[in-house]
Amino acid sequence: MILTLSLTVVGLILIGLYGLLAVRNLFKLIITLQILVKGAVLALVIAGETSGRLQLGQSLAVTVIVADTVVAVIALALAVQLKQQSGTVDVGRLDTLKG
Amino acid sequence: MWSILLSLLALICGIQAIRAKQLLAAALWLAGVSAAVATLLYSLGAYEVAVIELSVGAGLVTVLFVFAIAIAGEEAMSARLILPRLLPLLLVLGLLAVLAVGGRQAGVNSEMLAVSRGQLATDQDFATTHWQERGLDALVQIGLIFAGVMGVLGLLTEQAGFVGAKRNSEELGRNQENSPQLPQVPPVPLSSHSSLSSHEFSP
Amino acid sequence: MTLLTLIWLPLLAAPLIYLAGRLAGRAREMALLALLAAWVPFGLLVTARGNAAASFTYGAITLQWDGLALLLTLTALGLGTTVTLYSFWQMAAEPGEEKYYAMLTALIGTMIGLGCARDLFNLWLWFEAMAVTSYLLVAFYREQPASLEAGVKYLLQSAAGSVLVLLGIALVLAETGSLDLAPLPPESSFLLRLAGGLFFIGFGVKAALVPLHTWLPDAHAQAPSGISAMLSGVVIMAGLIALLRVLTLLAGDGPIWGWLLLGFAAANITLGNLLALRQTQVKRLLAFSSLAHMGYMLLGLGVAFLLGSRAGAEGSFFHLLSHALLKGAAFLAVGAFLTIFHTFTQDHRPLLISDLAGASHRFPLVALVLSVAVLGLGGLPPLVGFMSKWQILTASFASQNGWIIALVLLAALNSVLSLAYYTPLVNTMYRHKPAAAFAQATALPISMTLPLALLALAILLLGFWPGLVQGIVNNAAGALFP
Repeated sequence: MILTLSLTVVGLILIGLYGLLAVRNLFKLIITLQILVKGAVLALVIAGETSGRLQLGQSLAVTVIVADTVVAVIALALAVQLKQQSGTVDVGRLDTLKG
Repeated sequence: MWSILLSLLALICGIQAIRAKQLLAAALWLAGVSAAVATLLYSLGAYEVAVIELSVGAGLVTVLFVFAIAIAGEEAMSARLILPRLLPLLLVLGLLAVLAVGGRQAGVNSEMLAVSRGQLATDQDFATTHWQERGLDALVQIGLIFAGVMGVLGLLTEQAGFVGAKRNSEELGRNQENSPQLPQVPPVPLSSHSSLSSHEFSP
Repeated sequence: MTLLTLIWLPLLAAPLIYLAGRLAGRAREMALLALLAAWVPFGLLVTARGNAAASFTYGAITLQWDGLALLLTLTALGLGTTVTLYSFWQMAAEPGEEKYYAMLTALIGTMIGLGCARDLFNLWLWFEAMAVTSYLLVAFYREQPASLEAGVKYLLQSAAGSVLVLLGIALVLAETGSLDLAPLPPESSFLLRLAGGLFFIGFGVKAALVPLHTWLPDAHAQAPSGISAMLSGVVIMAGLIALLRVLTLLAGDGPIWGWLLLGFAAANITLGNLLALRQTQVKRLLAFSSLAHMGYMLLGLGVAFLLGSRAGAEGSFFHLLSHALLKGAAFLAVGAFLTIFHTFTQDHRPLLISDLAGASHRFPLVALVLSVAVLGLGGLPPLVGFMSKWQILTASFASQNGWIIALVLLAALNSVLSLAYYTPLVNTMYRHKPAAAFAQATALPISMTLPLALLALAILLLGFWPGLVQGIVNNAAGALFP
């Protein structure tokens, strides 16, 4: 059980890291970040469970969910504003800052 | 067995969320990841996190994504009118709901504590841990939420002249009075909306 | 109690600043007032050093005042107050000014909290709160795609880094069952080493360790100049201090972390300098030089971790203070020129080095401050930057290790090389014929020149009497290596 869940965490993190490198659309990048966060939430609860402090793990996980929701909201606000100002949310095409 | 299936479901949803061509589909796959993870958490006995992950992760965040994608997708300018009012409102409501649920539990629990003080020291339930043992985290979190609300307001609200800006632009105007006529340089396309907006400077 | 006041005063003031700005247009006065008020509990804490260390406990989490917290608080509060005063005129016409001040004050508060955190997860939460408050500040010019793009890069990389830190925390919790930031028993395990690696990457994004630095030049260049100063002077240092705190937890593997720090030091110094050499935009040049200076600090700290000696850490913390002063002064002076330049051009194009031509004729004070700052960054005696670099290099040289001595030589060479991109700035400013933008500009208000003068004064004072901060620096090193 714990092993399966730990492997799920590793899988979610790998998917997320791959996504961060491969995805170019800003909205999808934010979705990818959220996948990473799900992995972290699961990891914290598993850590709480294996160390015999499930409630502690739960408390940390809830805090993380709230904090990263806030981050996602700001990221979405940035994306919407970027779309309106420059007409694209394709990170590959945003090259005003290269060099 | 169940956990293996759910794990696979979470991973497949994750892969699909990255592969999906349409943004809305990707957001819905993310909700799928969230639901699968929530069920896994539930099976671990982490009921409170499971509920919050389901409501915030699968619910609130998905709604936010759908809103933002819909708004950025259409070219109409009306987007800037809807979003500023809805986003912070949704954020605050959702987080308040979370806090309220937890707070109620904390209230019940502190009564229990009053009855049998000390006995729960090692075997605490979620609410005690979250609101008392980790109370400082909750406080810092309030600051973080405030910063988030500010961030959304700062990025998205209309900049209609409010008191502060008016007063200050007058002041800046005074500073500029003795400067000679400013040459009119044609605005560069990228930054035509200079934040030192040109009407405050144009002679 | 005093500690509690110091931490919560800026955080509680932030919403009040916002309200004062919305209702009465008095955000900036309110912000300055709040930050000045925060100096009172800070002073009380510093003078009461002989007594039992101030701490505050709520539930299972403790906030504790120590040398490292003092160092970070002094830097954040000092530079923060200066930047607030400096912004009075510069940000005056900006829409959303009240949010700028509210977030700036909250940013300072979160950094003070971060310095005092004694619980692994609480440290992460302060760290995340610091990041969230800084996102808006970086993307403050929200009508410019370049600024939003910098904000997006910064947010994505920070957020990914913070998830890796969380994984590290989960590993530590699973292995030890505790989140206390007290050194663990020396025996180590694979999972704890993995956690340490994750901390390195996660906090390393914020501290701009070299392959993880790509957000930094954009964010520094696009943010309002006051925020550039805060980012470069304090925020990346807060990332470094968070990393050092968690590394002391994993003290069993001290040599591994020492070598890692030294590796990043070599990368940061070399790449930072090489990239700075090819920059034509002033703010990007300063941003890349931050990478190099982070490298010097990593060098001293790496030696300290490797040998368990305090001397390297003392040099590094002294350099942290001096870098905050120098880079703060440099960014603020450049910001003053940038404002004048933008008033002239009526757009938001970046300030090139050549645009500074002849700036000294119309603005001798600002040009002098910028010259002092960049020469100090280049390590010219008798300015403060020379003294702190010297301490790091001598402490590292004392290690007698061939690799470290090679690294010291590399650092010294780079320090000389760095003058190759600092001196053109000075040269250009003192050229004879002033550029059009500066020939016609009006004088700068005192709210802008006073902070610059104060920073320059501090640079000179500490250059001549480095002993003034030696006690603070020693205490900070003592907090890491008791």
